[in-house]
Amino acid sequence: MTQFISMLIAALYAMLLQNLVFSAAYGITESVKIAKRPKYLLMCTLSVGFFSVSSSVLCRLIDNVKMISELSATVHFLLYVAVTVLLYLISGAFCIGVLKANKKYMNSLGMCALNSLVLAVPLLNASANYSIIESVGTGIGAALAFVFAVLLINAGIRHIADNESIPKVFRGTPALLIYVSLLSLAFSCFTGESLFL
Amino acid sequence: MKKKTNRKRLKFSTALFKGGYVHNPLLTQLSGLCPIIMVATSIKNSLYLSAVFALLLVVNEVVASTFLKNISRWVRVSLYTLISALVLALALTKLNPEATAALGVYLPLLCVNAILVIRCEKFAIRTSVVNSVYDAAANSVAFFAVAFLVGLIRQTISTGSIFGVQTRFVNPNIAMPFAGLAVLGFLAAIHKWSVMKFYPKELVDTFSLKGAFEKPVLSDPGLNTRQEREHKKQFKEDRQEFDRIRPRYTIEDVESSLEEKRAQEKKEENNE
Amino acid sequence: MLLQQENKTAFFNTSDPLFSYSVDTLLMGLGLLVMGIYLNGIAALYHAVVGVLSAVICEYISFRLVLKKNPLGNMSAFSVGLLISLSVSAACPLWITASASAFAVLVAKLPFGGTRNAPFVPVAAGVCFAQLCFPLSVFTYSASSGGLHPIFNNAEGFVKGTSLIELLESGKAVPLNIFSYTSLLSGKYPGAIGTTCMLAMLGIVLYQLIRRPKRLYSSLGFVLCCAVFAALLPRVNTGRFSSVIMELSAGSLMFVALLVLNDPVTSPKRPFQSVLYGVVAGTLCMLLRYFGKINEPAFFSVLLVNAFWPILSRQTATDQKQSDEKRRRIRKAAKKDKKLSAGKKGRKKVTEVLDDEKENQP
Repeated sequence: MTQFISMLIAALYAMLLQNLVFSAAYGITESVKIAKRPKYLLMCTLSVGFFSVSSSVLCRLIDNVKMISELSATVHFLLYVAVTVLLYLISGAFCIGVLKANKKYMNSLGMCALNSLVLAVPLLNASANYSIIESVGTGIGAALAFVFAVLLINAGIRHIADNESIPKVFRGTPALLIYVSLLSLAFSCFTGESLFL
Repeated sequence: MKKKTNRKRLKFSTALFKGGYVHNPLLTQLSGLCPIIMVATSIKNSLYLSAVFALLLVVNEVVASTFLKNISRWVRVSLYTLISALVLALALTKLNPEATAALGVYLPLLCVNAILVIRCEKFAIRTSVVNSVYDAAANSVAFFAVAFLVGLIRQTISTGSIFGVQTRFVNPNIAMPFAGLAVLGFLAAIHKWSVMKFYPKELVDTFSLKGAFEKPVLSDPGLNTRQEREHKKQFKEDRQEFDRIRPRYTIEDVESSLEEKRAQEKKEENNE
Repeated sequence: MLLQQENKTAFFNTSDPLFSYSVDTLLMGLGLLVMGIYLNGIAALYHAVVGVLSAVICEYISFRLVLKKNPLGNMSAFSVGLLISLSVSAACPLWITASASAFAVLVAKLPFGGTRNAPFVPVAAGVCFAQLCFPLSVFTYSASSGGLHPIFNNAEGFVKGTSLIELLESGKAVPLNIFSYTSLLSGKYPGAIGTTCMLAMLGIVLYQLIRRPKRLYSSLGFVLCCAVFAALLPRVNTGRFSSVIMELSAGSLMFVALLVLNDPVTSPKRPFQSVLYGVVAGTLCMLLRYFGKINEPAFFSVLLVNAFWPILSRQTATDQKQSDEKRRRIRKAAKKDKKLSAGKKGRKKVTEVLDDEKENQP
């Protein structure tokens, strides 16, 4: 029970208290791209969730191996990248070979697997020295933070697209960046400053 | 499937102007924002960031242009990450420890930067090595320009000193992400104004919000896209097919048929 | 679109509905300012002048250059500047108030085409910016109460006061007797310039009941939700009533409920949606008070509800439309069927009437 609660706390932390997208800018490019086309949201969220949880757990398991834990941070980072890439290649091969996935899905799978949000999760777990259960929580929290971000940015895109009185110089990208900055300001209330650096 | 390489020579000035300025990847396409928002808080950080980014982009584009053309896309994307990680690991040994500490966790995250994938996939694999190097250099300059400006503004506000003159207006919390996003937003507005004012014909809204749910238009500097070439080819084939099957009417046929129609209408009126 | 037409000869666009809203807000804010000057000294007036000037100048220059329309036509810049100055401590430097007003206009209003289209309440954005960037200055309150004397940040004789929020965080209760009630009503507890005087807040409630009663739906939802939270999860051990009084009087809760949350541009129009909007904002505010690290989360709760509301309202709007349509059909069917008005015995069930109507349709 305590482990489940610690997993929940880790997930809540990544999702709300220090929202990984708005407070730490992980995966913000991908969130904006998916927010433009929200019909792929479910698929992308499941993909991001799968990759963040599995890479988080595998990297934590690797960290706990005594021989590897004594190596430098650079080697650890290379291992995290290798694990993420390997996971992506295996899932890609499975999707093409077994599920007969189409080209569009494979393109978005790459974006969901190899982005700063998924790669940041094992780095954060290592810096916070989380257990494996807490790493699962961080992975789930990252996926939920991604969903939150996409829904909120999509609401902003709709508002900006319907708004005819936006000045020409602000139409499009500038207005969206400022909308996201106000979202980030709103989410900064939870801790007041960034903890991820 | 073997990719056809476009051998058309790209000028560096064209690449810099169109790829680096008009279609700035950060300000128009919203790619690769993560490190700029979080760590471009001073000029030094921006310089370190830009240097590492330039190295990664050049290496990736050259390797993609040389070796990766015939590999399927979904595998290629992972190779960019692996190549960047290896290059970064080598670069970390040479980098200043002060720089590594300042950039923190965002330095290793440069290897999954969206700009690397976009430039390699949209440009490097379809063109020669020289063009790829020019494109990488242009995009690196664009990245540096944005990072430098954001870093300069945030450093000025956080320290409160403008051109060496210390003021009371100090805001150390400008390092927060909302400030980075706001500064980027205003920079994007200034960039859009300058392009609209001086180069209105070049402006293509690569991030169209009006058609937010349509495919964005991405144009590469100086080259036709594969899509455009395919459309032209398809159009030509369709036109040939249409010419072959359509009935051959001449103007005389049309006139004679109209005369017959008018005569028939007159007869009906007379009968009535 | 008579209301939308601009009167090109006059500087202020009196036909704009936002003009009358801004005038009302200014009048209410001036009442709070008078009490603020009485409690905090002449510094409160300086803050108000600087806040309003900063907002007006930024709006005038930026709207003329970028939007190319009448910048101060609806007087929203004046109300934004005044409300921001009322939300900061009298002891904080004047340039912080000026920068908060400038942020509200330049970041929360200008890029979205003005007040009418701003997705977030500009006052909330400006105050959140000040609270996040300069927390020490914004949350340092003077202990002295009453008297028209100047108070500055590092002046001699400046004594830092403990606000009700700080008391609640440390679990210390204020004994509720006649003296503390009068202190609460008159605003003698340390706090921001315009947020401590509960008597002035009651006056604002009365004013709004007379002028704009529909604006109070969201305020009601907000206050009730906060009261429920305070009653169920008290942070002080002197009873639930004491907890409710302290939580509602602490910080900028009432100020936000009455003047910021019910912004006509961002808040919903229908009563049910307004109450729900207030409840969501109240929940966020109280959760942030209990678990967050910011001293005054009321303004942040407004920003968060502005961010989440478009997602929630899409669902509630469609439900509202469907229920309105059903109600219209029932009334129409009831008029047709005379037996509904005859009495209980002869009354058909409404669903039967609707079914008959469907059968009779070609």
